Order: sequence, then C-alpha cells, then structure tokens
Amino acid sequence: MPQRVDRLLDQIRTAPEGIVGDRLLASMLRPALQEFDGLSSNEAELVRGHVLAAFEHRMLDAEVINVAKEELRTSLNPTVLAGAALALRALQADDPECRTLLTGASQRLFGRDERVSFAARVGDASSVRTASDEIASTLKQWPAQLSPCCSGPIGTVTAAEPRTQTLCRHTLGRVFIEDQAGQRSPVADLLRDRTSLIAFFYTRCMNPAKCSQTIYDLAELARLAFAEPLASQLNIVAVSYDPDFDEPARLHAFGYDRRFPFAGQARLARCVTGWDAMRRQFDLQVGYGATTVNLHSRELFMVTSDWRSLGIDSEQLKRPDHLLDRLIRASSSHAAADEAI
Amino acid sequence: MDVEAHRKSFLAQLAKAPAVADVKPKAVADYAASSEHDVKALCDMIGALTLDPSSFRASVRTLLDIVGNDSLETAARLAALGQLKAAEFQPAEFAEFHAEFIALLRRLAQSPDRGMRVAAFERLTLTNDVHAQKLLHDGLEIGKPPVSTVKAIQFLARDDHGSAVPLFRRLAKATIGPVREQALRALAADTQSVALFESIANDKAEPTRLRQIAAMNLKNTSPTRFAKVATSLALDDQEDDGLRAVAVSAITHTSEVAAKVKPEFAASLLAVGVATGSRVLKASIDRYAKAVARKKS
Repeated sequence: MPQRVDRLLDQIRTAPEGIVGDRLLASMLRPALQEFDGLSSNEAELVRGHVLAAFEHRMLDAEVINVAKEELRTSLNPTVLAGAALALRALQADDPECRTLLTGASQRLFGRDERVSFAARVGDASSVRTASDEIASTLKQWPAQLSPCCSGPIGTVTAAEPRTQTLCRHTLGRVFIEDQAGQRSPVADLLRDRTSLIAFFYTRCMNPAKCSQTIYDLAELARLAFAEPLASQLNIVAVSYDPDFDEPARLHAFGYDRRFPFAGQARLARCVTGWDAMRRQFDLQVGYGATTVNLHSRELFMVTSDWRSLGIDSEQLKRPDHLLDRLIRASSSHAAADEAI
Repeated sequence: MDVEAHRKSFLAQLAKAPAVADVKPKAVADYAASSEHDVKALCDMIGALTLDPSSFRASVRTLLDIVGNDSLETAARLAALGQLKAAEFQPAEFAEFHAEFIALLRRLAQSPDRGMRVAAFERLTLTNDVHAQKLLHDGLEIGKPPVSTVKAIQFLARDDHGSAVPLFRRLAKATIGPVREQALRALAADTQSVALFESIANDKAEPTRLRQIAAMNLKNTSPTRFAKVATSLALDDQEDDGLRAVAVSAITHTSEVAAKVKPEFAASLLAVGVATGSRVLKASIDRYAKAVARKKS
C-alpha cells in the first residue's frame, strides 16, 4: 500500500500547470476518490496534505478554499494542516475567517507538531520546517499582501454551490436501515411525508472535532426540537458510514455517551441493505481503508417531503436554534405545498 | 502469579532502594562525552536526571543529544529515550521539542542498531506515525521487517484505521505459530474476517489458543454468528473445557450475544454444569446461571 502513496505523491508533483492540473488536484480532495481505496487514514491524510500544499502556486476555487478551511477547523494531522496553510497563501482576498482558523489550527498543533516535507517521498525526513512554521509563515505574509486592490485572478473566489439533488424513491426503496434499538425499516418510510435532517458519522472516528462533535451537536438540536411543537414532524437521524461495524449496541453506546435523546424521531442508524446506493444517492464524501473509513467530510443534509436533499454546512449545527428554524420553515412550506396539491 | 503479593514485593523493593540525588544536565552531557565513561554509571545518571521546570529544557536537550548520538552505547541511549518518554508527560514543556523528537525517532527507525530500531518503532507506532508504518509494512511485504515479524505485526496493529489488514489476513491464513497468532489478534476488529474467525473457532484441529482468539474476534465483529459458535462450543462434550468456559463466559458477559442465544440453551448448559468434571467450566456455567437468575428476578 505505501507504494501506492508514493505513486499518488508523484501524481501530485507532476500535475500539469494551469486549469487542467488545478482540476486534477481539486478532484483529489474528494475523500470518495477511488484512488484512496484501501489506504490507511494516515496515508490518505498525507496525500491530502500534499494536494493542498500543491495549491500554493495555483488557482484556488471556492471548493478548495472550503476544504482548506474545514481542515483548519477540524484536522489534527500536521501534514494536512501545513498543506492547508500553504494552499491559503494563494488567497489574495481578505478573509479574516482564514486568519482565525489558522490561529486555531496552530493552537491545536501544540504538543503534536511535526516536521513536514512536501518535496520528498514518504519517509524522507530532510525537512526542518514544522507544520507550525508553515502556518506562521502564512499568517506573516498576509498583512502585506491582503488588500482589496491587489486581488487578481488567483484567489478570486465565488461561493461553492450547495449540494442539492432529488433522491430516487425507487433506489431508496431498496435501502433498509437499523437503528440503535435494532428496529429495521426501509429508509423510504423514514423520509416519507416529513422533513428530515440526516447527518453521517461513524463510531470509530478518531477525530473528536468530527463525528463525536456532530452527534453532540445533533443531540442538542434534537432536544430543542422536542421542546418545539412546530418541530414534531421532523426526523433527526445520524447514519453510520461504517455499517458493518456499527451494530445497534455500538450506536446506542455512542449516542448515550453524547446524551443523544433517542426517540422515534431521533435515531442513530446504520444501513443493513443498500449502503452503496445510499452513498451514491447522497454523493457521500467518504473513503474506505482496509477495514474502515479512511477519510470523510462532515456531512449534513436536509431532506424535504418531496425527496429533495440539500447539503448543509455542518458548522450550522453550532447554532441549533437557527438550524431548527430553517428546518421548521422548510417543513411548513412543504406541508402547505402538499396540502395545496 | 499472585498480583497482590507481587505489588507488595515491588513496593518493598522501592522502599529499600537508595534515594538517588538529582543530576544536572551538564554533568550527564560531560560524562557521556568522556571517553572513559562507565555505561552502567551513565545509565544511572540519565535515570536521575532532573526533569523539574528549572532545568527541563536543558535536560531534554541533553537527552535528545544522547539518544541521537550513534557512537554511544545502546543501553545509555535507551535510558535517555526512556527519560524522554517520561518528559513527554509534561506536554506543555515538551511541546517545543516534539517535532525534533519525532524526526529523531524516524531516523532511529532506520538505525543499524536493532535495540534502537525497536524502541523507535515502539514509540512512533503509538501515534500511528505514517513513516514508521511504511517501513514496517514494506519490510513485512518482502519478509524482512526492521523488527521481528511478531513485533512488526503488533506495532502495525495499533492503528485500527491502518492499511495493513490485508497483509494480516494473508499472514493469519498462510503462516504458523506466533506469527499466525499475532496476525489473528491484529484482525480483532476486522468485519471482513468473520468467516475466517468462524472457521478457526470451529476447527478442532486448530490449537486451542488460536481458537480462543478467533472466537473473541468473532464476538467483536459479529455477535450473531458468535452466538451460534459459542452455544455449539459450550454444549459439545468433545471440546476443550477451557475453550467451552471461554464461550460460556462470553455469552454471560456480552448482552448482545446473550440476547441472541436460543431460550433452550440455558437448560442444556445447566445440565452440562451438573455433569462436567471441569472446575473451570463448572465455575463459568455457575456464573451464567446466576446472571440468568438475576435477569429473571
């Protein structure tokens, strides 16, 4: 497997200049990329760090910037954090959020910093620059560079398109889920006639800022929803990326430890049939190593009663009251539309 | 071994041991640099090197230099490495040295000195270091790991998000003895090896120890299939009693498994408890009976 990592690093280094290379590299930031299949989490992250670093002298688009920001927000891996810091050096438009995230990432590296090298193969420890050094350099170069008048084509950013799609009832009709209590049901039953908030997670996730935090935040949202009569028709569900391992007992323990208020409308679940179809339907950004997930995004979707799914920034879970309002509004408007029909 | 007696004996030894005065970093560095140093004395000095706040930085600097000094004796370097691991327990103070420490360990993982290699891998794999994992993985693939095969498997298995599982699956099928045992242990959470676990756990020709590992792995990865294997093992008079006791114990203490056991199993098992001459199996069945009674009440 490590030879495959070296091949991927070669691919990054030899990516053509210009838009073709930019697109190739941006595609390599998708955790679901087939080339990452079978890699360990650390190997996949090493490659990810190198891809991000390669953007230092390339055109950044909104998607790449969002990936870099998300890594600065959640990653614990020095190579990934250094790569994100290098990528953001191409940014010429003022972005105070990036500064805050870089500072936060630097603090997270405290006690786990490492020397990073983006020129060499795995195992070459010739670099003397650490991940913290790279972040500090990015922060240092900005005051002189950031100015609205000098923002050229590099770093000109348009907002990333939200992920929206209409789910296929026929396909999802063959997908069955099992919840933390061992109750099995077609996922179609879950989605029918109501608005649902669906998060994805897995219990073996090693990053406390990702799956663990998602379930904590979702639990908070579910508690608010229970106290709000207008939210009585909402589903709040978290589905595991690791369905073979996440048996009902594990789902229950994971939710229980994070004070998840289990109920008919609030469940943790895994797919027992049709996981691949589910992945495709939601275009889930998750990749798999030899036994479990190797890379994944934080993914959250609102699915309305007309089976349309809308990707939601997981950071919105940090403001559960706002998110709940949004869900209630979506639920009400669809209920009204259904009545009109 | 009587754990309590061992604890008391260890504490008594500690109480008798002469107190060692704190040693300053410069004294250690000077003595290590002396061509006439005695290794045992140097190790003692390293062990007594103070890690208090006033001299923490100088001590860690000295220790890093000793560990990285290829001309020094392995024993002294390992003693210094042990102290550095202790210093890591002061993460705020150690933070400024962390990157250098990891880089040094990565170099030592390729040292010609086997003792240093093992120690470096021991520490690096605790934090799933991708560089150390590559060396171990590549070495195992070509049959020449940088540490013993068993150790290499142990070290790689620490990463439950690792990429070595296909290699462990091959080793668990194609090798014998301790390497196979270690490979099987390394697959403890591998849901794709359920069939392998089932086959080994059911195979009376396999060594009992291996079957026990396979059974426990099956319990972790598929409680439903384990319930079938465990009930059949527990009721089979031709089986090893130790293995039967392990199966009963797993049923007793794992609620997901207990929930999947058929109701008639309890009566059959209690009958085994009456008939068996094995103390270990009888005790295990007694615990099961008590658990069932508690659940009923």
